[in-house]
Amino acid sequence: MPPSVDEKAEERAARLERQAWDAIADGFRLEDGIRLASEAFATRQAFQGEGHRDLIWPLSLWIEALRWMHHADSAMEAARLGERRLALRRVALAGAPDELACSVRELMELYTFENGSLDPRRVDELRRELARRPDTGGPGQEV
Amino acid sequence: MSGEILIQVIDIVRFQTIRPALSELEAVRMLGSEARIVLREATASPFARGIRYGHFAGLLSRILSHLELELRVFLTSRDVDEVIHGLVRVLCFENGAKFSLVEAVGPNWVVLESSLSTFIHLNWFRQIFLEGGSESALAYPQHGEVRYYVLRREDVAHLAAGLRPLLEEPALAPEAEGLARLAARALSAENLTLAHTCLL
Repeated sequence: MPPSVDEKAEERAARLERQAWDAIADGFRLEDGIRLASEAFATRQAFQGEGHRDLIWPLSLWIEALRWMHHADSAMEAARLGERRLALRRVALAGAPDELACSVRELMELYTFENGSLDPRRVDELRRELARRPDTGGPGQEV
Repeated sequence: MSGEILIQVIDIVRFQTIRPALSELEAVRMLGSEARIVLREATASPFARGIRYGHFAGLLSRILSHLELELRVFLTSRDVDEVIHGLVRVLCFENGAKFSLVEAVGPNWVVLESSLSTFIHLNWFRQIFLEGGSESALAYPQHGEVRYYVLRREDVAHLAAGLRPLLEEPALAPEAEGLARLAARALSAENLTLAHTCLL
């Protein structure tokens, strides 16, 4: 039986993700990494929908490539994509609060560029969210 | 050729045994039972906590705490690369692949730095270490700064034979002796060989 349209899209997305990973890890092909990861993201979004957890991985690759660019604009773009990733992780990691807390911390790091904060107000919000979480030493945790 | 060459003893049979688990990690989906066993074994290793100030051990712990999750949901590509590299170091290399740039020769390693400019002029050395090509590259880790190349056992024997006359030369003796010891160790068991990598 020939592969279905979804199977072909899955194969294409997985191939793009592998190529993006290789390009980013290479360190000298970051722009290729960004292009490949964004294509993988668009492919998955088209056949799996806006809220599917499989969108997290191409987003992570995309963010990784942007972070390595070491430009303020790229850092801001990475933080914007990080917000999207955190929204998806809030659903995917609903049963793993410790990992969700890690994701919140990762987003806080994405807002940091050259020892400064790209959005101090948002970082404060995230810090308060972490403080409220019982699994991260917030008020719900017994000491 | 510039830089330094790090040479260490690797259990290549062990590497082939854990290779399916490394492929599973690379797929960043949910891990099967065999891969979980490999991760648990690495967690129990005393070398696990020494890698990047315990970051590797922390990643193992996170994965093993959430076996119900697909890795792609909560890890980054850099995390996965670090886990794969750490597993190879901890489970396949002697002494957890420990080495030092301060001491050129250690119990499980030799770093050729200043002496490399002399070794590189020896035909047998170039054949063994430079002309193996990509086919001698270890399949994992395939990302990051470190790429390992492994010697065939006949290359290790070739190396041992080539080193013998150098053991009398004071300028090369420490590295040559260290390499001869590693070669003898690799030849002492069928599952062992030597792996080398460039340190920039």
